Amino acid sequence: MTEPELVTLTEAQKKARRSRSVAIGVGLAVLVVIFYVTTIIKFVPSFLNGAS
Amino acid sequence: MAGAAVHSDHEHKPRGLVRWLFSTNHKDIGTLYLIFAIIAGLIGGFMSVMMRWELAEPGIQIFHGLASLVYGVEGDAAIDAGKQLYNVFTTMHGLIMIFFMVMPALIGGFANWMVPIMIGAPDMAFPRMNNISFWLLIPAFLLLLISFFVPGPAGGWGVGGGWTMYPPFATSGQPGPAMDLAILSVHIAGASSILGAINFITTIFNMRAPGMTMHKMPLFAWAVLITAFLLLLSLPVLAGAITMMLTDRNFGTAFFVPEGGGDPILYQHLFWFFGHPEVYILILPGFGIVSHIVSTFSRKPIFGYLGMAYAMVAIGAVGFVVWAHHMYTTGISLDTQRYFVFATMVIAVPTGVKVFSWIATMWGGSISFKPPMVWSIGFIFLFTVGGVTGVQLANAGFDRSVHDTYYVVAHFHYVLSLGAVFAIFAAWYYWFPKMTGYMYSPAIAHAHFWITFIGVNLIFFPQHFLGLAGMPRRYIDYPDAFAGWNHVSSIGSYISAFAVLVFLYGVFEAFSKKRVAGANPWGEGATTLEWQLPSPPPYHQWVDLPRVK
Repeated sequence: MTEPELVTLTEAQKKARRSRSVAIGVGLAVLVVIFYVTTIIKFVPSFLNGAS
Repeated sequence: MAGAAVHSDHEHKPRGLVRWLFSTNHKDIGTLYLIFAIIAGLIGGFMSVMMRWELAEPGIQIFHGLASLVYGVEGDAAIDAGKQLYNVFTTMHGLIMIFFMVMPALIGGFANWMVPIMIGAPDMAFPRMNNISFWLLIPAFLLLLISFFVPGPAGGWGVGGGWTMYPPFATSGQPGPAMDLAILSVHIAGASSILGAINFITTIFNMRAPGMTMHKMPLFAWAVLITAFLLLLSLPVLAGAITMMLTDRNFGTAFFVPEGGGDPILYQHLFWFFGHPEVYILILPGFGIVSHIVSTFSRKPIFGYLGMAYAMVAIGAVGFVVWAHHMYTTGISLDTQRYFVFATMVIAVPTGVKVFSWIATMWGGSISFKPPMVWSIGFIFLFTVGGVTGVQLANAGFDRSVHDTYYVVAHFHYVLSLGAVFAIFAAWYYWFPKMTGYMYSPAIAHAHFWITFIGVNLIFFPQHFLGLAGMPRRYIDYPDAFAGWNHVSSIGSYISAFAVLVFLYGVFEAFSKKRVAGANPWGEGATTLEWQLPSPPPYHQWVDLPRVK
């Protein structure tokens, strides 16, 4: 098995990678919150209308 | 060996409590997950053996005594408590095996360990969040275990309504705090999984080594990526559903209460919108693992790599639009049933692509039947058996007749208990030498396989006959007519329990003999990046990133 060629990232590249990770992570977390809230909100009106 | 990927100044390794409690290292966290999964699996497995012991003969055998022992009740009260306890065992067995054994083993354990290494990353994208994901599981598991000992239904203890927790039994039927504890447990376990899913998606999208394009990525990483998306999209819906149930129980809302304008069937829709993708969450990582093992031990690249990757994408996507095949008996319209029958059967196409591609990979290959390969072939066979009964059950007419019978129990255990668990053991025997640096005894691993294979087939194959004969699930007792196959099934359970002891002895033996495994014990068929590192890999790997050609 041949040894892989190695690449060293610069500090700027590492920082950019970290920033991209945070952006993706926050985006996904927002998606989760939207799905969660939508699931509940969607059924509140019908529940309120039907409530005696 | 990619020794240059490791800098000596990066070899600083924390020790003791700091290392294991506050760990941000993906390999350490993966190890914690695997240990947790083994413990949870032993508890969940113990419950299943107790259930089979109970069902070995008609009549009530052990659960009235167990209820008397645990809750201190006597006479008729012990019999009633025993019936409830049996249902608590079925419920807890399901919840534990799904949320606390299979998911932690495949996603938390093996994916945490191997995905960063395989894609050429030094660690996960969010190492601290990785730590939080694991430690959330502990209180979740404890809450579930505590629920055993607090009141559930009137005069009983624990949660006995099944892992699906349908209202109204989960709302007005079990007013005690046991159900609230279980809901909170699932909430916390779900939060843990969501954090893990965000971590895996970010890691796979953003931390791949230079040259590692999506279409060069190992199939296990593909499988984990798709699994993480399924988790991300389905778990918030479950969280919404059980939040509504919690408010129905405690704050006077009536989302699922008909007399207040709610609808209990709504819960089933929400639950299965999560629940069906969940079964793919449990099996997709296994697909990835088996692909690597079949390729490694056939000494051939996987047949139809892109087809294999996109078959998983297709399974994940279609898996979101088939949920109501769990609900054919709820009164949904015929047209709705027709749609769900068709959509469900469509899943057989990408699944067939995978099964035939594994066979095509083996075809003409130089196959060596090492333990991981034997477990993988077992997986393919057993998963296919479960898949075939799945295609049968997709048909509403047939499903109505066997709904909630042992036919369904046999089906989902063939795809999960036999499918996912065989994939877990395949992964264990494939990566154990990499993770620990030690080689296990192949003889013990083979013995473990054959005893398990015989045991689990004895348990679950006869359950097809019981289901077709009309034996319903979730009852402590049954008519004498069902005694024969139940007895066989219970014997299979004892054999499988013995196989677990063989597994544990194999682990003990490997650690005590300390046979050095070497960096790549599987030879030239093992081509992914983890085999270019020493065994065990350095504490921090790929400090300098490998360039993938």
